[in-house]
Amino acid sequence: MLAKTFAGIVLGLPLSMALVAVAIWLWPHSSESVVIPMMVIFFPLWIGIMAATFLFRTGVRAWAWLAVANLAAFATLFLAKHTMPGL
Amino acid sequence: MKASTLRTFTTVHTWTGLLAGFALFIAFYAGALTMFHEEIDAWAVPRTDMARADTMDRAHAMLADIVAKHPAAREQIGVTYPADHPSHEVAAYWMEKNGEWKTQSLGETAARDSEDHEHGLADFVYELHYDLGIPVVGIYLMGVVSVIYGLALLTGLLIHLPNLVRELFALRPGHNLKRLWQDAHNVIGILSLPFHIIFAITGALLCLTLVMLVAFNTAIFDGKLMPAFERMTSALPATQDKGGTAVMLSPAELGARARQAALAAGAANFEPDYMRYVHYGRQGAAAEVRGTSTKTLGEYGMVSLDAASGKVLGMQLSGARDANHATYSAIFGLHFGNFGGLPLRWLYFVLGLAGAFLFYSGNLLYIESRRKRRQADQPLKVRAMATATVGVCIGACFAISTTFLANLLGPLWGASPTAIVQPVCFTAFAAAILWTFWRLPARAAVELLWATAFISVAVGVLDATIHGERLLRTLGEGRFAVLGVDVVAIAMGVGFAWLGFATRRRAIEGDPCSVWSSRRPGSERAARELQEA
Repeated sequence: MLAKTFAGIVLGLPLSMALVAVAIWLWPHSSESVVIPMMVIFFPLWIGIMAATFLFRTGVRAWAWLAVANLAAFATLFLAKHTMPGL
Repeated sequence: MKASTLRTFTTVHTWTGLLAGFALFIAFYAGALTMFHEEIDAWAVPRTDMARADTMDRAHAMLADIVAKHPAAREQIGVTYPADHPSHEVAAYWMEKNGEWKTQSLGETAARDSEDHEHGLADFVYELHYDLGIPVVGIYLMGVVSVIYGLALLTGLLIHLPNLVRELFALRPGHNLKRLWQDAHNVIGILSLPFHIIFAITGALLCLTLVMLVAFNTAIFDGKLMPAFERMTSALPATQDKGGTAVMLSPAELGARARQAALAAGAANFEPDYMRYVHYGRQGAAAEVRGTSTKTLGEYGMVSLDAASGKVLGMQLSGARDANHATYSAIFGLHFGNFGGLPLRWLYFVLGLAGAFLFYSGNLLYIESRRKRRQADQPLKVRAMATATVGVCIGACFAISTTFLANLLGPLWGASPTAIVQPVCFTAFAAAILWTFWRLPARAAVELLWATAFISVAVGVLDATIHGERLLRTLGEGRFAVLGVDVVAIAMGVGFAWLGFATRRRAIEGDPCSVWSSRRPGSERAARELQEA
């Protein structure tokens, strides 16, 4: 339980940041025009990820899957940053 | 949902509730009172009305004087408008080269540190709301508490989901008290859920904006977020100090032009409450006037103007703003509840008190579900929880009422209200906690509730007696702030007294196998009574 809690806090934080950032970059036309509305989603997203992390069968699985999700999200962000205008 | 999942979420809900509940109780109780910040301020600190015709002319002269004495203020200097509150302080704000914010109000002759402001009663209650009175780190702490609160809300909703529709309006009084508390906790939680979602999110955002910006700025946006954030939240276009000198239009003149432009753009109205100059006194100087409009969720709107010619440069107003400005303004509007006039403020007040009840009842449920039903002595965790709940929650109500009384009576002994509110509140709070340790929760709860009731009624009655002349004068002028605070203080006192009687009945007549019973079957007295019989 504690392992899942910390997985949700520690890995859920960068994951929600990356997801919000990807959404900002992928937004059509101007990315800057949606930064604040997207940032409002950040806390609910993090909270949702923290709650969902408790659904993993074990703490190890939680850490592993969240790590994979982080890698995927940051890789997408990396691609978006190098192909899209952004801020 | 699987039974094991339900159990996991119940555990998460319990622990997040325990972690955040105490801070949230104080935040909601103080926040409910803060809905009437202006009224409490008018009640607490009688000021001479400042709205003289030449106020803004004097402000204009003061700004020129400040810029002459503090060259750093030229870069940016802001000033408040008296708005519609006659007692509202008109003050200038600017940042020195070393990053310190300075302020100087119309009545003063020299600058002072803007952090070093007086703790008026209303401001102090507001501070309790957002940082529990803890300097510097309190606000970040409350941001973290907001996130934990969000997790508690989500898990609470999930565990209640299977029974949500069936038990929505269930409130089952009867022998099983735990079920009654559970029903009350659930129905208040569900019916005020939208309100709580708003507060969990906007609370976290308002407390942690700076942290969040720094994190996103460095980790994601490679340093481009900070300048962009300035554009996203202001109406000022990029400006440039072009050197030379220029004669600045006065704040009053710029406010009037901003208002005119706002009305022409379709805002229902526009009351300037703050404005700032950039590059004051130089060619290229600009000004941004912030004002409030009604009939919009985000009441703040902004108009930027050329500070020398008065030409409108940009606008971000209700009905004519982009998603960033609309969201930013709505965050404040939703949190402060200032988008719907007096009825909405009362609604927020009631929902705020109901929120405080939600956290209190959560603690009661923790105690009730771990109660040993067949013995008077309860486990340590149950006793500790009861002590903390009574000490912190009822203690906070007691401390705030005491602070109101001190604010009222202090001047009679020559103490300045602004100097005593903070020490009195913290001392009363500490005393309430010590009292709870000493008297044990069952008795302490009754005594603290009665003390709070007595003090609250005294606040209303004594104010009407001591300052009766002021009460009548304000009523004669059609202002109801003073009367309102007196009446609400008395009404809340009656409410606390009722809670005190109910708690006393529970302590005397209720199940003795509980921390809430003052009867002790295993105690010496009971043993003696048994012997005598």
